[in-house]
Amino acid sequence: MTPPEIFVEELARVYDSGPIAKVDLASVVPDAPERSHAIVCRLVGTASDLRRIAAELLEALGPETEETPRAEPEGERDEVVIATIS
Amino acid sequence: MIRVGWFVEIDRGAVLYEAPRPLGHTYEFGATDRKAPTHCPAVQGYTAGRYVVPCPFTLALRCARRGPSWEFRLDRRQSEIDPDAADRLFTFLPPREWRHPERPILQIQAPYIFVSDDEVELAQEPPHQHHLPGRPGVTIAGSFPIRDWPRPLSFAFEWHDVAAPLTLKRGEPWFYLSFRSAAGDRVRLEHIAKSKAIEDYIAHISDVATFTARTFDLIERAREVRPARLLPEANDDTP
Repeated sequence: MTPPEIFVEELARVYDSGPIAKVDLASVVPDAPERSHAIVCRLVGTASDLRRIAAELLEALGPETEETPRAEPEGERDEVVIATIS
Repeated sequence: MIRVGWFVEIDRGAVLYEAPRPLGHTYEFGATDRKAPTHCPAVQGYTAGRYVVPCPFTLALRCARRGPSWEFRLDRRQSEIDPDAADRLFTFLPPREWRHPERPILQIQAPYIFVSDDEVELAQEPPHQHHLPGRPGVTIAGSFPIRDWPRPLSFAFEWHDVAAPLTLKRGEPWFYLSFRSAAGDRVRLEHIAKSKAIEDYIAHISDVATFTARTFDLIERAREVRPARLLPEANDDTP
């Protein structure tokens, strides 16, 4: 999984945009797309823009090498990956 | 009256799969008021011959894009089905088979098999007469002739709002079935045992999708070897 710091850093680098730095890091963790959606969409445009940009950035960052601890409140979710497809 | 037999074909957990219920029996309110929609002839005409298949299990599933991949997660706190069972029952189609690049499609085995000796077209439809907020997408519809093609069903779901979880609850409507025939639309649905004749015929048409994508081209060939009768003798005690 891509660490959120890198994700935001890459987002800021590509768009060279001041407001990006004000985004709550946890809100753009890829694990929480529904929460990142509203904040980042205001900065980059539409939902499809966000999905495209996120996909391009994550692809550019290369394969995932390690699991990053998730920043969710304890007890909110208990999820297990049952499939990954590409 | 069209006779349609059904049974569940699965190695484990067949008891989870309950009998289809007439759509008209599933409305809970307004049945006592003569002006209620349930008494409208047009509504009754629509519900005739339509059945609700109840969902066999409770689950909450999320999906998310991970770079070039898509990841599907089972929320164990909101799911009664365990990951091993999900692995057996679920199929996640590869993106090249999707209808839209941002809308994943998954299939869940629905191991009901319907058999009729009449020319009957079975249509599997979304449960659109029930409000089900846990379905952030489209239940894909389909139809096929069950006289010559008695194959198990599948719940196919196209995920449109990928930020929202797919939640299914045991007992809520999973999908609808309708049975249409030139012989009429009055259907008598009977739970039957799988006979040797049915087993042999199903084996004859099984797994052809492994070899060809044009499986319906084979229906005419299947018809040539189908026994004239597959249903058991009618039991007049069957409601």
